[in-house]
Amino acid sequence: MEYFKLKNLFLILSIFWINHTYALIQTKLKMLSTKTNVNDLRAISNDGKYTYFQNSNGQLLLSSNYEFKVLLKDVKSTQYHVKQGKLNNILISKNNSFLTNYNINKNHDLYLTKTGSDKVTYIGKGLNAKFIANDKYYTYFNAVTQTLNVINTNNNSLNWKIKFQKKLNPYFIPQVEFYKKNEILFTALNKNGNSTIIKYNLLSKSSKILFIAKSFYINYEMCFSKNKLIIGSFSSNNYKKSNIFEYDSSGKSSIYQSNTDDLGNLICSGTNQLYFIKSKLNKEKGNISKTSEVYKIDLNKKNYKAEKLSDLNYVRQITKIGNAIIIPFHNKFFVLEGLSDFTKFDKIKK
Amino acid sequence: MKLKTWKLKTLLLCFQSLFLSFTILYSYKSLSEENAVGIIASVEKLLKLDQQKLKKLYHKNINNAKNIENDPNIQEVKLHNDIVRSIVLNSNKNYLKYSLNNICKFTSLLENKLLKTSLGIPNNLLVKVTFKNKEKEEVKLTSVQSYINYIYKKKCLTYSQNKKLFSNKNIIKTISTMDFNVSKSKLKCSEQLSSWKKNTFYPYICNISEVIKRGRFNFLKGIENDTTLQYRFLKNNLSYFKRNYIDNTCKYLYNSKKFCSKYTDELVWRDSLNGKKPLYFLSERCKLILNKKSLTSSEIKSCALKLQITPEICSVKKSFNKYAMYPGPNCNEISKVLDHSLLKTNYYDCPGEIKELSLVNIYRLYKHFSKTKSYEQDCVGDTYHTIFNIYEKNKYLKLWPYKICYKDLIKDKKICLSYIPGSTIGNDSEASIISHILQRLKAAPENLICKVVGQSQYNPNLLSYKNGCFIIRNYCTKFECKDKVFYNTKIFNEYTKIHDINSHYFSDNYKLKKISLSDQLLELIKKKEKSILNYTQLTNFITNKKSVIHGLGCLEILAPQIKRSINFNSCTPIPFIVDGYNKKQFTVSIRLANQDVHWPMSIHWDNVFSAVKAYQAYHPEKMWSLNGIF
Repeated sequence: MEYFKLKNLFLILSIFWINHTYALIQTKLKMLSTKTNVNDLRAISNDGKYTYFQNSNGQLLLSSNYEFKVLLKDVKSTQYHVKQGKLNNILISKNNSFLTNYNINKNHDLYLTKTGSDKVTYIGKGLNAKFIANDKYYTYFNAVTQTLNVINTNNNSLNWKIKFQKKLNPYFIPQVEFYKKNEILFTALNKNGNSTIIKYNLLSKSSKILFIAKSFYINYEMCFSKNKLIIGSFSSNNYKKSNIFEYDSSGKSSIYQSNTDDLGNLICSGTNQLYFIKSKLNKEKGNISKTSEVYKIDLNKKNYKAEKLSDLNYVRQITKIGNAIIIPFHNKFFVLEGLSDFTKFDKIKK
Repeated sequence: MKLKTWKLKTLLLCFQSLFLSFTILYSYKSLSEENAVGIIASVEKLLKLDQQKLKKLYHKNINNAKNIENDPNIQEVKLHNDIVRSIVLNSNKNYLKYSLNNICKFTSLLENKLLKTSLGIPNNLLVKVTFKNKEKEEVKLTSVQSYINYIYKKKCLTYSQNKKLFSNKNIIKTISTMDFNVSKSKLKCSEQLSSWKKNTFYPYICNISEVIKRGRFNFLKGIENDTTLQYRFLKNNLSYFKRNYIDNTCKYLYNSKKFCSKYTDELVWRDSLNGKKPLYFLSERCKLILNKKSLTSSEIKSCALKLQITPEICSVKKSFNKYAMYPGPNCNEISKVLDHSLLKTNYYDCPGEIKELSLVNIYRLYKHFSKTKSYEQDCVGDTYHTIFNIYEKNKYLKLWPYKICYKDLIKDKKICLSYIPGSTIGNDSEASIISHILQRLKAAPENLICKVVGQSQYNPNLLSYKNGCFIIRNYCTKFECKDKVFYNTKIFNEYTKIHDINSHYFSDNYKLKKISLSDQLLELIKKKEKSILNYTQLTNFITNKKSVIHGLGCLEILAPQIKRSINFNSCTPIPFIVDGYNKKQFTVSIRLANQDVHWPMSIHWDNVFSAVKAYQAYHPEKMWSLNGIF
């Protein structure tokens, strides 16, 4: 017993030392400040009035004006994720076996709600739930049945199920974006394992292949920025070909190209700004190392210059909360653009 | 005569300057990636404009067709400037460099369909013709063949013989006389490659490479035409080594570093052949690539060469078509990782078919520390069987998550029996448990044993399938694919399968002690584990052949190229094994549980540390999940 206590003490001290070492991250970026523990935070409404967070008892809570409401409850250690739409819609995914089931294709329970509302509606089981077309539809992928679901947000009887064929990569999950009128685009794999982008017409239920990647080392990503559909093709395994282009009915026009395996992680903002992670190979004393930083391209300007925003060396993710663009890094959250201090909102009384 | 030479010089000068501007544009692009956007856009515009211009030009001269090869009144023929410009803009830069300042080489490339305009490989060309006794040039439309014949006849007499040497009748004989040896010395290899720059056969061998590429594409698409036939002929008559040598020579004529690295790099495959590294690094991979269950030593040797010259082959060939993360790293990347890797991997597994990835990780660790043999026929069954044995030997069978339940009519209660998923045999196999249930519910004979068969194999019309029990894997109807049981040709479904996964990977609080999968494994293999908190501890720990490290971390951080982050604070936990490191690059060799065991990756230590740290932040007990087994 004494041995265990001693071992745990050593562990705690070591972890404290590591935390302390990594707290000394040198960056010009501001850190995200929130009233709740940032690891428990799941979403903040665009106006900052509503905060969604979870606790270790398996609850998802909504906080506003110093009041808490429990939106969902399940077993201890349940993990929730919250996806905000452009309007006031919210999608919630719930994984109640975070600690016991390591099946990365396990479907999560999905729920729909409105910002600030405590009424939550169960919508199905799946992964990667998101809104498209200004919240007109929401989509998710059922990894068990291999079905992409597209559902009208206001009328769930209007829904589409697109069945995927058995594929080379059992862990593939398609990305979906709205294109125009009744057309959506989604990513898929062809029989050789190459990424493709398929255009699907919701009225005629017909599909057409738009792009096929030249190599199986290329992945497509998409995002919709104001009125532009942006497609990124990012390579891995030293294939070293990444590019980003805009796609519309007249075809594709290039925005960015590089001879590196960029990580991508495309994010479009409502103000026509495009964010992605670019990699760089550094040679030092005969050793090659790879660093990655976040770059931004202002799509309003015609020269499409890629501007470096971060200074952290090893950026692996970019994400959004409210309107802020965030880099999670060593358990800290750095704000690239947008509001960094979310602590003041609850202080405003209605 | 003076005028003629001057015009030829002008043509070449024009060609050269255009090529130079293209080269400058290209090199500028690679020098400054961040500023590349504007340049790329202008190249694209240029190409579009070129295409429009060329179309107009062809259309304008459609009535000016002329066969130029045998006209005695012709004094001089040169390509139209717009055609030259289009060829420079649209053709492979290796070919352009090869033909610089040499009209014969240029024509030979045309002959072998290696030069392109913005309208594709040309069948007709626009030329400027000067007739005797006329000073003014006239634009004429002529066939490519007519142009080639004219140039060969007037300027390159020796070239006209090459075509015969590479005709279908002579091509194999011609190639057999050529020297394809590559020196192991980088300097000599580079010299050998350079000699091709002067070789007049270069366009012909590059034509072979193009035909193989196009023919293979047609073959895979099921298109039968001349190119497909030629592809088959070349594939059957040229060795794999020669086909690749030809392809690499065409691709890398002006990049000796890349060309020679394919033949001179020290890869782990050679060490595997000479016994410095385990032979299974090579043999298990080659069995997959050659699709054979056993290999001779000469097959392994030729496979080692194959891995070196076509590194992409490792990315797609995985455990006998069993599913796993796709694609994997290429052979060169794998070789670099294996150089530092300790995990014993003389078997195949199939993570894509074992949904619970913690079982895959524990299975791999058990295989590393024990000497058990695998059921090669059934990697699913072998994984479950191994884990079942761990539960059984540790007397935790009550916690085994896979059960088949049925309502026993005699006892009048629901009975649940543990079973091992997959196609293994034995008392606890799925087939045995279903046979037992059939005996209880359908009075089936005591000696009944269900057989596992594929849907295509099962045919109830055949006598051999009329009686007995058959488990059909992935039986697909119009709506779904599911395992089905047929007893005497009728579907039997009076049972339910339960997969109640509730085992933690690591013990995360005192109550769960002895239940976690990791603890069960340690108890069985009689080992201990300790936390690894930094890179120094990791490098100190992995010193002897058996020590490996396992952990749990967020996939979005461990391998962001595999899974991108889609939500704020998202974490998809995945088990992994670290079995080596490269101190110079601050990397570790890692096997994620969703990847094929033969596809190790090299990743930066910071990815591992951050992924474990992120998982710790989301864990209710703030557990640190990176432990070394010793």
